[in-house]
Amino acid sequence: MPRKTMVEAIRDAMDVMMGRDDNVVAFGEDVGFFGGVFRATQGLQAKYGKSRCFDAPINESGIVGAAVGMAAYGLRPCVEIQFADYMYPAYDQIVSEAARLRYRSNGQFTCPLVVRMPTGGGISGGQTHSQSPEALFTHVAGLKTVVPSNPSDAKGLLIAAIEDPDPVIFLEPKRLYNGPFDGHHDRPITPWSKHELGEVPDGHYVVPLGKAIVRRQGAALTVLAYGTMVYVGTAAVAETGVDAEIIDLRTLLPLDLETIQASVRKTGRCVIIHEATRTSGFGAELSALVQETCFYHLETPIRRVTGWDTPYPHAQEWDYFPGPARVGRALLETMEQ
Amino acid sequence: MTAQKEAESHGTLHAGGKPSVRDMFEDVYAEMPPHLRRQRQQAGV
Repeated sequence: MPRKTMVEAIRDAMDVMMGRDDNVVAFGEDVGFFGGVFRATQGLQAKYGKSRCFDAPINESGIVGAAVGMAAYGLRPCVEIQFADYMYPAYDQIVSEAARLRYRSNGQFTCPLVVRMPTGGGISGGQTHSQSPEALFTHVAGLKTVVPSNPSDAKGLLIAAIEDPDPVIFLEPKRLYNGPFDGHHDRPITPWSKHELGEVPDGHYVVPLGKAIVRRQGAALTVLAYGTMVYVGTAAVAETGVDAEIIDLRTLLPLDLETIQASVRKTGRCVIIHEATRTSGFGAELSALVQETCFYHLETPIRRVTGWDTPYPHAQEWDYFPGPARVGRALLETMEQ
Repeated sequence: MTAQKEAESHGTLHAGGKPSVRDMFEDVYAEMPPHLRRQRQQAGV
């Protein structure tokens, strides 16, 4: 099976869907002629023409606003916001229009729209290129929020997102574009070409939205992670020797609560990890759900390891980023309690 | 190139003088609220 980077897998998903459905269009800043700053749409304009893949002005609210209109008209736009950090001007269009169109019109209009955004840190991007705003989307009724952690999932999830009848926020951990990243920033990277999850099937396939996957079976503790933190958690487990079960959520909303419950009820311990700031982060929702549904199985308090409640710092990136040392300490403390 | 060297002569991110981890928690607010103070303590600084 061919191995691809996550960027190539995402491009492949759009290529497959644009080939199958003339209603699928891709646009955004530098998306057309240049092929996107991360090259996710490279070659799509040449293949499908300027009416299917094109550049947009530097106006995120305009990009999403136009896409909402297209989706209501019957197209299936898959738009790119160049960095999730640039999303804020479009937030009103996402929240007030895309997320509510079906409800507000009593189902007469729908919004089958995908908004792709590179997310997260680990690239020396500072506070304007490293944020993880997933909780701003999971808090909004009417949106679905997806965070893939590898090329194989990224393609199948993006195809599922494009085929979905409702708006989907597709957050791409940019530090994973070229290979898995376990938080050891001072070590050489492993490219996807040398990782089994870089194997991406040809053609059309779907990874269903709302289904998590157990990346590592374990009996002592459950780690809930998504995106880059799946690999940080895996490294922390290997370095501490804790027999943890690692769950890659893949979709934050709708959430696969059944998989989480089955694991926590087995292990009795839960550590939640994410890059985003701590307060009102998605980890808080996960913690509440685990407490509400697994309380009588818990042997220790649920722990969160997250980014600090500061803007994402440039100079102290690796003191901010919840790396394997911090995650490992939380695993050991949870086991020793 | 000349302009870049001129700029780099004033220091780069990798040229030392890195701010402390403690500084990361400063200037988020005029006065540090309790939750951020707790997080700074958890960071060990």
